[in-house]
Amino acid sequence: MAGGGSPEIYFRIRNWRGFGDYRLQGSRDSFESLFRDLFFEFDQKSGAVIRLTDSNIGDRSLRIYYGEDEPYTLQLKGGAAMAETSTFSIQPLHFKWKAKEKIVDTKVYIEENQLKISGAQEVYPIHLISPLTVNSAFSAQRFSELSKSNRHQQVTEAVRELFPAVREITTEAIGGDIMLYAALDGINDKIPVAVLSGGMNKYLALILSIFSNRGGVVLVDEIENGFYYKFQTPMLRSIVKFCEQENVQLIASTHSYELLQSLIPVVEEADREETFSLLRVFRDGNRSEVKYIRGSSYKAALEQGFEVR
Amino acid sequence: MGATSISSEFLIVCEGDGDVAFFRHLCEVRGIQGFQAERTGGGNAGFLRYFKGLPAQSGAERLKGVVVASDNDDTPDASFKLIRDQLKKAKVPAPDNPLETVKWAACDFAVTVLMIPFVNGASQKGCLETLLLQSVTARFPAINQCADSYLDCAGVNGWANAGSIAKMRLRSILSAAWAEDPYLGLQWAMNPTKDLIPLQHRCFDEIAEFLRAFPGGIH
Repeated sequence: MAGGGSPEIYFRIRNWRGFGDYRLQGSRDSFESLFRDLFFEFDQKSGAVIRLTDSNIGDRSLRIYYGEDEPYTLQLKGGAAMAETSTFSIQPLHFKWKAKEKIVDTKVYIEENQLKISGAQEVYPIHLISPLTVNSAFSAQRFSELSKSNRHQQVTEAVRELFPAVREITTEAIGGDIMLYAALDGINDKIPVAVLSGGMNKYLALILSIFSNRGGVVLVDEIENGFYYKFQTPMLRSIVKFCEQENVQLIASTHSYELLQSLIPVVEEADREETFSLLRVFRDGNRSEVKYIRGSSYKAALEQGFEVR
Repeated sequence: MGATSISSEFLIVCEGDGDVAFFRHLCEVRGIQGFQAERTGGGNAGFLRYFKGLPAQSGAERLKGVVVASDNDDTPDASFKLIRDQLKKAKVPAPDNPLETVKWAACDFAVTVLMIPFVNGASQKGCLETLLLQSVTARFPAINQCADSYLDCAGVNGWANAGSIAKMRLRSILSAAWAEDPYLGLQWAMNPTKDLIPLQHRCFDEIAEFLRAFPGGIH
């Protein structure tokens, strides 16, 4: 969050973590409960400050606080049942980023029954692949978007590279929803992609994210999950190839030593030692540090059998 | 998986398991604290990969100093150069001479190279076993006399490589001294509880004193 420039990041993270939709009730508590988790010991009065230092920009900070001098009263639309609670006063929540000399001061508030954000910067195109974001409806939507620009065929080809039994992937309307279906060798009828292996669904979600996010960033949480160990190297090779093709930066987290080992052949190919890096996150007391490790060092460490996690 | 995480501020990097056991037990017996001993697993040519990978190793950020330990063998200058070249290629501090400590601004830890054996700071031909023999022959003089005859009779003394002769003699004495398991590996024979290789022997004094002084010499 501290590396960004819009409170939208917070809502996106909430969504990624499975918080789901938010519904505002007619109270100040309802508004503030959306942000409660941001604060140390849930103390919203003290505000929150996140600081980080990176080798590019230097020091950055994000201060989150309620603007005490600008409370306003809000009348929410509601029936008689809400009569007593439909008017309340709130203070807008500020997200104030500071990086070098630049300050971005944004505000989250309610207007016309909606949460609004002012003063925010454009958010960099980032997709997250995690167990909570991999679902067939989402994949179908992305596939459909790619299909509109005639780019869906490359997705099918990418899937066929690793799953040769898949002849074709299509979107089908099922009960009013769009679903992905696959035509498979040896089976007459198409079957829903969602009933195929979890590994294939995750791979498909990843490929769809890459193809629909050209020039952006794809984050993958615990990339090893769902993939058979013998399948990891070809899967990683394919993903990296498509990232290079689409100019997508891939940032994947893992706890798996096996995955890190599976990655070595991919790093060795095509001089990727210079484009690959391992970011090792560790704690030093109350501080968290991210250590940048070059691809060549990563490879030597794995070959040496070092613990790098 | 081989190597562990780094848990100490000072690291001794050696060639093999026997060397690691030697340094661990030497530090233990002599009360030298703060060191962790690890091996390259690739002999004296394994330092390049070890040091290339070291920054990625869990706990490497706490390192303040690294002692690289290797054998002089029959060509001390060439053996030292082999180590130094690997350090340079791995982009870690590379001292110009054995026992010198070098610190670079771009690297978190200082490095020194300990070429074994050395006397009064000067490198000598030989290897770790050359030193160990001094301790073991003092511990088992009678078996050593038998080893003299055995090595003569078997033509071992005519071998070209002095290091190999020392290893053969050491192996013979340790096998004869440990009936429980004549195959006992050097790394196990080093354990002080077996009383096979006394690490208090004066031949190890110079190494022990160097290690004791090493942390204080890093600025």
